[in-house]
Amino acid sequence: MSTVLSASVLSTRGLAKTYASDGVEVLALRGVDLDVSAGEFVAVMGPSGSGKSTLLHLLGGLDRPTAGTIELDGRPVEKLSERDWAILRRSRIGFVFQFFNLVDNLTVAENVELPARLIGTSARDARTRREALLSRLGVSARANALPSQLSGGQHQRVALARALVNRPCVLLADEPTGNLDSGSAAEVVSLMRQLRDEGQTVVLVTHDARVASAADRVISMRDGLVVDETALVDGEHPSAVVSQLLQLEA
Amino acid sequence: MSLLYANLAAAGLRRRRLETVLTILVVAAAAAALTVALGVGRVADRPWERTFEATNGAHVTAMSIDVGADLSRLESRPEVVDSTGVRPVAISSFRLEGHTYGLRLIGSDGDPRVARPLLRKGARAGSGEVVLERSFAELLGLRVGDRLRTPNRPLRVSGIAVVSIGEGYPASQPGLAFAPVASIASVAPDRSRWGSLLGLRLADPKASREFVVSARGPGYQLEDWQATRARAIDASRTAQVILSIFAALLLLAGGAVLATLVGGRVLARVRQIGLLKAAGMTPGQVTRLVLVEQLGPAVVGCVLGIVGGMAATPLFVSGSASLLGASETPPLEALDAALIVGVVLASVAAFTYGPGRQIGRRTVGSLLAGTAPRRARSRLAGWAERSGASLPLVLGARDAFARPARAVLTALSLALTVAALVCTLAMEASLDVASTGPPPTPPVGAGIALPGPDPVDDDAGEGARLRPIVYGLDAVLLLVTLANLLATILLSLRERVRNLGLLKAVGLTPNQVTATFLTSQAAVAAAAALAGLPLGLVLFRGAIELTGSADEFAYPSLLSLGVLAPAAVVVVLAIAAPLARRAAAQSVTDALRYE
Repeated sequence: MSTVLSASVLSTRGLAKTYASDGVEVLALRGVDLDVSAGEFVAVMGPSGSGKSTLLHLLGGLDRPTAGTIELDGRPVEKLSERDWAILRRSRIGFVFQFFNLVDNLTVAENVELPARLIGTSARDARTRREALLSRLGVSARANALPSQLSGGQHQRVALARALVNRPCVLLADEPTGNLDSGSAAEVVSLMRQLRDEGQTVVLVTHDARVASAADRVISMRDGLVVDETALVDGEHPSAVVSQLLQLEA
Repeated sequence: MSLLYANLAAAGLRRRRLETVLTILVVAAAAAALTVALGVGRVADRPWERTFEATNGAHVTAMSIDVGADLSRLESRPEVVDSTGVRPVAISSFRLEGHTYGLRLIGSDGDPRVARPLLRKGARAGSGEVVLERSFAELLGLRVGDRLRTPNRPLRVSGIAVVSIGEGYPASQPGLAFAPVASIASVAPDRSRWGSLLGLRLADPKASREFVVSARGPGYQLEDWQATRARAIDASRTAQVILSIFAALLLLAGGAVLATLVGGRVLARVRQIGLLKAAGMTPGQVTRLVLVEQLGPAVVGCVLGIVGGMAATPLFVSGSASLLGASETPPLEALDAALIVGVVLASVAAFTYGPGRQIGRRTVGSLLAGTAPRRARSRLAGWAERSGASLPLVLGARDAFARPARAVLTALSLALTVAALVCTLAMEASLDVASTGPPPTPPVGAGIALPGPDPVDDDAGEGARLRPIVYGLDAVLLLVTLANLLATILLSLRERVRNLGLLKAVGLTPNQVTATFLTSQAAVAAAAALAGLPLGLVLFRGAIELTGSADEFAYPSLLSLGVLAPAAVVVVLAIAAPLARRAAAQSVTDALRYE
């Protein structure tokens, strides 16, 4: 790992989230401090219920924190309205989910162009960007297909293309390989790594140590807290703590 | 196994309470519509014949305007099996709200076996009292207990009755009343100006025409029951056809509502069905489970709907019966209720079985992947984009017909209501045209000369009685449609929860998400409204032509039609907007987690 990292593009302090379920309060996050530098690839690992997806959703404004702060490019964003979050997401944040990534009644091309059109990009420019991305991700032949006609791997590549179409400052990916066979998962991870090499900031939530091994840094979570952070060098596997966590989960 | 189905179905119903309540609501609306439609349909079915049977009507009626004419000799002819006896007829008048109205009084002492007035309200006339024929009493707003100010002495209205006559009031003037001979004598004391009336029952009713030809004589006129029926049918044909159209529209709307909701509900549950198949259920078992789950709430909805429909039916039936000169329709019988339950439950089963069987045959994998729209291109969206519409509008247009079968069923139910409203507008316009004709001329009566025709005209009378019934049926159709719209919109929103969440995730604001959904609903509503306008005109035109009065047909004003289409879209948007805003406010995380 030789990339020189710059100042934090994304940071949280004391980030907490409590859900009420059937009258019982569930502490999903208990005060997370996190700094992600520009161009850094961070993997968040942990067992089910550790709070990793909740953290990612709070970072992208998909949900609201109960306490704590979030800064994006040095600007506090945790108190933005739904509308302001939506506008911020359009241009600054790309999302990839594990399931149900694509709007099912839009074609692949329309899905990918959607965020570009939302920020006012002309139809021609949006098409140019979409063609370039789909071509790079190897799915340009499926531009006119509906999501239901794609394989799992193609689905995630298209989702990645859509997340990147506005060149966001942060790409947030929630278990993007969780639903894929090992071959497709390796391709997606390889793409993430390439993006990181080109300077794209990536925060990825995963169960899979092999996926996490592509990151610059692995953050381990448990019971809503960050319990370990490990910087990886190229090709290194996550730390022993992470491995232990994975074993516990298994 | 039956217990397993029941348990699984009960769990499913508890889990999806909103959908269960919607199913009950919509099935109840459909059952109520069917109950009302059945009631109105029965009134419109052979109304004159039913009244004729109920009153033991006369096969031949002899009317004398000559005091010297001897009608009693007709009673002794061999073809005659029974008669009313010769009854006196006198003409008088009374004042009501500053106007003078004619009154044809028929002597009716005792209880005639033939052509007996069938009392609907009040009691038989005693001394100084009259029973009024129903269409006459209803049009003038006369009730039991009212007093008619005749020139010589007031007459109290003791009752209101149905008789089998040709045309009702005001087409036939003066209005009919039945009173004891002594009371007639006190109102019209000059017996030399009385006429007489005789009703005869024949052994062979089919030979009535031959009887009329052979029994002709000086000083009286004869009319057989077939001629009377022809006049009655001619007089009530417009109303009968209009009521039949509305009954049919109600039936169609009820069917469309069931197809939309029930079929849509099954199709929206493909993932759950996939999981049940994955757990080991066969396609047949899955279909049976879905049937049980749908039929449970449908039975509840059916019972509620029939009770509500029975409560509402008299509002339409009594008015319709008066309009058509029919005797009252008997209340809903057990057989009718069973018929409605059977039709509704069979429809629910059919609309469940088809999609259920289709889904049951699909592989588990394809079911777990969910139901995806099949249409990849949208001309409407393409047009919206080329015309420079904003992105949320383009997305909404794209979504409007993505599930064509569902969109068509939703549009059909709205189009039927728009068609019914167009029929109402056309009826109004046609009544306006008809009412500009000359007022009816009262028949020459025996005895006193009348001051002129009553200050009501034929078409105003028909319009005045048609309007409340047609508007009431419009209201029922509107309620059925609103129930369907509410259910369809709620289910559409549920179906789109993830898509709407994803749109927010990629940067649409809540207002833009709301606009997207509303555009899709507005597009379907606009298509329905545009289809409903010509459908309504064609239906009404066809109905008027059936009645043989095409010259009385008038198109509604362009302005009223122009207002109707946008009004339909506004109603849909008014229902959808608060629901869409609520859905758009849901967090993306919840939306994406939704199953």
